[in-house]
Amino acid sequence: MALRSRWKRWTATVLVLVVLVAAAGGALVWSKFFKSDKQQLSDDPVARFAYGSLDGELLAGIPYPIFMILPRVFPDLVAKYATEGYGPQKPSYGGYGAFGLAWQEGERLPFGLSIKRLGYERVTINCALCHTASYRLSAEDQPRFAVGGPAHTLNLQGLLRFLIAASHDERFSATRLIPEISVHFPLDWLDWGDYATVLIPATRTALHLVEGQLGWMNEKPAWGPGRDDAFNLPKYILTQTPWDDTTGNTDFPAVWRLGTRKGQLYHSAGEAKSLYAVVATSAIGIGSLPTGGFVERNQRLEDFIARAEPPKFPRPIDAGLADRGEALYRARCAECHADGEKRTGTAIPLNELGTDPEHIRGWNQANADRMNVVVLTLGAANADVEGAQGGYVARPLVGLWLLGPYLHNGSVPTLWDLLSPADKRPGVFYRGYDVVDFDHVGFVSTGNEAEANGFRFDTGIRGNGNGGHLYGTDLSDSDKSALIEFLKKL
Amino acid sequence: MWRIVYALVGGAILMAVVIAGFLYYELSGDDPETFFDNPVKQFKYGSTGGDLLAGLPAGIFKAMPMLCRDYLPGKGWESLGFIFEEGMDRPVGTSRRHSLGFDRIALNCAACHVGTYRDVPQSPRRVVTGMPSHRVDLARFTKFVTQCVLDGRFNPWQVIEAAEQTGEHYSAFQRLLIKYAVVPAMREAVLLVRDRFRFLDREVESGPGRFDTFNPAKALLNWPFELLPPREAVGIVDFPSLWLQGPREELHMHLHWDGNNDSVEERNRSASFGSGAVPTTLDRQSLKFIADWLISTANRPPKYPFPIDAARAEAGKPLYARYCASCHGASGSDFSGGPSGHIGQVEPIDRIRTDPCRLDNYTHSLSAEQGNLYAAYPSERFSHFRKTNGYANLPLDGIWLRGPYLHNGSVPTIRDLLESADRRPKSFYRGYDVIDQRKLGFVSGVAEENGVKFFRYETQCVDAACAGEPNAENRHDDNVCVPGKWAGNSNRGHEGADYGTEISAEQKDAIVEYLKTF
Repeated sequence: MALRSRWKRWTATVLVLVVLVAAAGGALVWSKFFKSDKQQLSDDPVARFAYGSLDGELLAGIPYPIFMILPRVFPDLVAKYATEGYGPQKPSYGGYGAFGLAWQEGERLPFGLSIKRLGYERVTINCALCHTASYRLSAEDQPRFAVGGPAHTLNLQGLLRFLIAASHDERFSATRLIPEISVHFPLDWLDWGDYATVLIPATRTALHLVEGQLGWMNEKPAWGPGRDDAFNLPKYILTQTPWDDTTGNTDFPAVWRLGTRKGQLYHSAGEAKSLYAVVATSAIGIGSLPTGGFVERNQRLEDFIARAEPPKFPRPIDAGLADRGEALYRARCAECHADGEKRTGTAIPLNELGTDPEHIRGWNQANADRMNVVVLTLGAANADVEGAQGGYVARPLVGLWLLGPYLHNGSVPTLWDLLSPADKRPGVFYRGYDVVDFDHVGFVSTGNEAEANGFRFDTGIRGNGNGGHLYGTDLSDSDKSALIEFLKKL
Repeated sequence: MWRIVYALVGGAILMAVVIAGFLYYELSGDDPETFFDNPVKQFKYGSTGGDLLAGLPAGIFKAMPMLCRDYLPGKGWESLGFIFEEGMDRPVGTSRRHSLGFDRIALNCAACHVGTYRDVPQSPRRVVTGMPSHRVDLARFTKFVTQCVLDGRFNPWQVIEAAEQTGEHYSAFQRLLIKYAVVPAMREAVLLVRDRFRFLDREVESGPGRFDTFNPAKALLNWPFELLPPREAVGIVDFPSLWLQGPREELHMHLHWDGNNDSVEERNRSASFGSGAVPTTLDRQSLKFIADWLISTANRPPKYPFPIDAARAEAGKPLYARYCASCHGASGSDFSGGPSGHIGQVEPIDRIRTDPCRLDNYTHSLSAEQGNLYAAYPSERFSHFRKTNGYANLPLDGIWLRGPYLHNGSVPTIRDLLESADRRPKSFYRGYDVIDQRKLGFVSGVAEENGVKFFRYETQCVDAACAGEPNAENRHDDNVCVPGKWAGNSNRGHEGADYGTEISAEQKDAIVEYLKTF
């Protein structure tokens, strides 16, 4: 009897101890890895758009200290992946700037990267990554940033390939990363252990998983800066559709003044019918789960891009010439591109438009249905995404001077080229160089500087076709100049 | 049987605890030498925290010049321009801190910002705090440490022997540390620095009083120097003076030669990286103490100690007001420049037209990345760095001690600076510290004194032998740095009617005389 009660007491004590240790351990794990802090960010809507978290930390967050020091551990890999496909003279900078990210001086990270604590500070991406334009007015100018504009310099594919390559490199180890981290971040022995046993291996593994999901990229034409395979990304990753041989490389669009587009079609080929659908599916696509503040945040984003404005054309405009151009615009362009006109915001059928068809082939109604199921399953309201609408959407022209290269696939470098017949448009040019071409409107795409800093874009490659949209190509040179002068004002 | 096991286990545990306690006692301390009763001394000998990362054991630091004397141009650390003062066993510009089991020595702010001058060759050296260390050759220091540590002599036995010859005594444990930790770690560190500082091999030799100041930031970030645009390769500048930081801060002057930051506080911490003080080792208490003194009114230059021709200075005053004041301030202490003044503001490169290499060396990409350096400390994060398009107009306080002139120290005297570039010396000697009372600056024609050779500064190719080198004339006509052997050394710019190079010789002499009052 005495023996049994002693055993009982022992057992009880041990149990209590186990529970206590487990609770302490659990609390530690929770505070180290999952305790969430409110993001330190001003209430300025631009700052929130630029650096605000979409709460994707759990699935898609890379520990900030690891993210920050990767380029300096792998400068050779930065150089390789930041220059692949670019002109032979492309200089390589260390750091993430090499991938053309728009980076405001004095900010912790470039536009479109958020830092939020979930246990530890984690870096995630947000809308501003692909929707902040970086541009210069001359080669000696410093970068200027237009929030909401297309990130035409962003080499997203190079950045992804860099991260993946780093995760396979033997230097991606605690021995190599921790000393580099400890120069900037005070680490106690517990942190040291976290990094060595959890954070670094987990980040490596996560990047391997990303690689598995992106394997199809390597069989398709390069994105080049300012583009991604907009609908194959969700198709293959979110809806886990088997890889096929489509290629849908698409220019990042601007997200300015979208409030005027109610009732119109969104995305290049009209895949969405509402701003809600655009924002919700894009957010889910970059790791934001429809929980917590998902709805409110998306609403804020919708409000922001509904009213966001482009910067004005920064050089004088010849008013007389522009007036003459406006008449031409009314006659030749307004029907499809002016607010309130009957074809504005509709999909112009491919057989009429004649631009590159590849994007449309990649996303049919079945793909859209699967996407809708995923969105509903995750618990968000129905996005009601549709298959490509058999043509490309004629958008209202907002901040046109910063939207080059033009057409949905960014295959025509300047407005002047777009007003030229297809066989007069450049077959090869360099994109991703950030100096504005004030004469032809767009970005400088030829010459030594463009070749030294830009990506060699070959319109002969599948999906890069520069044909079609022949409207206005029959105008005289002086009429074209007048029209372009007016288009600078949009 | 069990008892023996218990005893053994108990003994082992006890031993482990004792050893752990001993190691903790020996290695855990962090004890900087401080002079908080004396700001000047704290500036000269206090720690930035860099010694926690880059500090060498005191005995080894003292022994190196003897151990590797053939790698030095002369005797001791003095031969690299370091200054020794009465009662100190280490040069000005070094700190001492006990950590990781040793008293460790590293450089601090004063290594580059304390200088000397002499009246005539026979007179004693006067040490001036806050003056550019125009005799200290940091590039050679770096090279010497590298050569010495990688030399065969730098083995634990010779190192310990040489260190003990300087009066140091090591315990058995410290000898063990030197053998198995210090010497191997120093070799590793030197190899790392040699690799990261490889930019030094790609630019002209800086010589005394100058160093490349933003390529080290790129080195910290491990940028691939070989792949950067050639125009960005060279960033050598003269050490600036550090006087009167208070007024500079109040007027939000742009600091650094290209004016890339207008925060004195950020500038201090950015410069501290040069001493090895990274965010996790920075000695915030010491740096704050030093910074407070830097902005105090006590931190001012000494008065010009030689006779001034009052009448000529008086004649120079209106000339100065006309040609210089709107950019450089009303006087050596009044930094206002009248209604059109832009003191401490950036003068665009296409106006000032001085050597553009240092400007090109600092880039937007670098300024953005610098925002990351203090990433873990939100309140300390750098947020003031900006890429600029020219060089900043500096106040001229203590200008008589700040030669050679311009950001790259390419013009030996003020009088030379008042000539157009083609009439300025194409080559001259730096590192001699006798004041040139006529031309204002340091005497720049002395090649050698008592066996000490001075550094010959070449602004371009000066003899027939090098005429075939690329860009031998060191021209940068488009205000863009053109690569070449002398890139960064051009003495062009700051010339023309607006800059006073077209007035009469008499008038120029008068301006020089007036500047002696600064």
